[in-house]
Amino acid sequence: MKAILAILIVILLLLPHWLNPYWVHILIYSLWFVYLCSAWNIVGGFAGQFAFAHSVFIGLGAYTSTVLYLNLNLSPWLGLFPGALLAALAGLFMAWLSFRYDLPHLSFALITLGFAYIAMFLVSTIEAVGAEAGIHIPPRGNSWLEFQFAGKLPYYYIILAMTLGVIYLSWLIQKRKMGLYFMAIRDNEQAAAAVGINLLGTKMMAMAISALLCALAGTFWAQYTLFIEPASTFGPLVVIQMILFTAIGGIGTLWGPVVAPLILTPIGEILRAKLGTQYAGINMIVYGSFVVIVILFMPHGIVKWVAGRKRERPKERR
Amino acid sequence: MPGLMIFFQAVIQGIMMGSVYFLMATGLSMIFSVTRLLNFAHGDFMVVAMYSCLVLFVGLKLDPYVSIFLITPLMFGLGLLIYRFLIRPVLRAHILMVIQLTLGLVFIVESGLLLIFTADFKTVPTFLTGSKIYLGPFIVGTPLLVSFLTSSFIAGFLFWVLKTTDFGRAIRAIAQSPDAAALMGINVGRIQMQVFGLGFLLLGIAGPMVIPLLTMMPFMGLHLTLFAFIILVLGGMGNFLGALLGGLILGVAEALGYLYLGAGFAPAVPYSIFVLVLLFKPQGLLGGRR
Repeated sequence: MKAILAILIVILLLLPHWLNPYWVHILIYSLWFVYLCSAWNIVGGFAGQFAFAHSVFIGLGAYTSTVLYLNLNLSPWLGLFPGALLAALAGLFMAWLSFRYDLPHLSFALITLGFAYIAMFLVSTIEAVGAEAGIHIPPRGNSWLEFQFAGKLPYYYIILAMTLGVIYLSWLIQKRKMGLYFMAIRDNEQAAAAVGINLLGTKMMAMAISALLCALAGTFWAQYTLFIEPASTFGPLVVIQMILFTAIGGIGTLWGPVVAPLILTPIGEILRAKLGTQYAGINMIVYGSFVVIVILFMPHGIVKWVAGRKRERPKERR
Repeated sequence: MPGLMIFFQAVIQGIMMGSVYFLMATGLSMIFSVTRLLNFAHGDFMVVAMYSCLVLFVGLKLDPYVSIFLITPLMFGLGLLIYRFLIRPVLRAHILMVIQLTLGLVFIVESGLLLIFTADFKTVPTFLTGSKIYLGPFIVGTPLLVSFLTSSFIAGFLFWVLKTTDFGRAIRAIAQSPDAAALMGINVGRIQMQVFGLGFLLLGIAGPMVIPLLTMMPFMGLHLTLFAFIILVLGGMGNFLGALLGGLILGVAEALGYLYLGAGFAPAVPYSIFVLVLLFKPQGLLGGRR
């Protein structure tokens, strides 16, 4: 297993040197989704709390670092931290608000989605951050200090490092006591509370970690595209995409949120490039059909389906 | 007192719009109470009904108010098909998996509409579009009044069905306990399928009726679904009268939001009210048993 991982990492390190910039972009986009899905998986998969607010965290990260960068000339590398802090606080607040009384899953899903919409509409009305039109970040040359590069390669290595980091973190969480707490809460809240797990605190912790990670991805995206707007950062589309990818791969597994975006993002991007001008939205139809088919035939996601076949277990009866 | 007049004008508009939201939400509520299913694509299928009006108008020159009679049976059939082939096979899986399946449907329906009809805003003229009625000192658009009266009539009819018919009693029995209902000889599977179809049928009525009130675009469905969900949570899940109250509150809140906060932030007002209610009264306004 370790050998396979090492080989994969070496391939990932070398890969962009053989590809043209378009494909490097697709790789970056795919890895960005791997990162986001893995981050969402910590609260949505391990802890089993169906949060829809992650677009708020991405948006907070992107907007905080960008506003500090443009107004105070603070390097985005430092702007990362206040953004992440804000997102973590927002996550803590939302989790606290929802889990004080045991609200059912539905209310948590809706209240978080509600926060995403409120944030999107709110930011769309603030003129100081460009309102609906968003902010164009002026190019300031090729420099690590400015977190801006002429080519795509540095961005690729940054997002690759971030992605490997978040996968490693997920693996750690899964192995440590914290992950066991998360999964105990997901599988049976009463039993988890009975053995002395602090339900509220643990759920808030899961949400805060997940939120903080998403804010970092927001800053990365702002610096990569040099453009942010309320609809694409705070809007619900990106978080629904994250959840669907994670579901297709396998919610609550370590590799599910890694596998699905790596397959689906390139397919979607290629379809959009080949057919998108003629048939707008075709990539979304493919994603949607994928998720429907996967849930009908592999209700636990690709990863568990593959693992189940490998062990040649008889099919579980439901 | 022109300020006060405008205020009441907005409240009346809001109540009438809220009754349409109720029509959308009550189908979702009935489906939830018998299947525990949360259909995130519910609003999208209302948008499908709206675009069907567009097709019927362009193809056959049918007025949307006439199309209602064609579209409702079609929507009922569509609901049965979707339930039979997509929802029922996964109904016993974890609730989150079913939610994801319906989120997948959201993508398919919204992008499908985008593919066929493009992202342009679309409207369909009706014979009532633009006409107004004076109710004492207030002006109300006729289409809004018609939808209000229709929604009220349907609300009353559904209430009567739920309270007095065997079908309604079966629905309430399943909502309380599917197992006990099955033991009493109720065909739970069939009722669940019929209720799912009924929810779609209501969308077939609501869709054409909001055509003069809303501009069509492919991506409005999720927003409508959320409104319906918020109404349900506000009123207490599965609570018929709560849904009515929730719908009216949402409609009024939205209308007052547009009046006092401007078009930018107004769409967020219903969500803010929702968050506030959960903050102070998390069981919903009428405090149902979750």
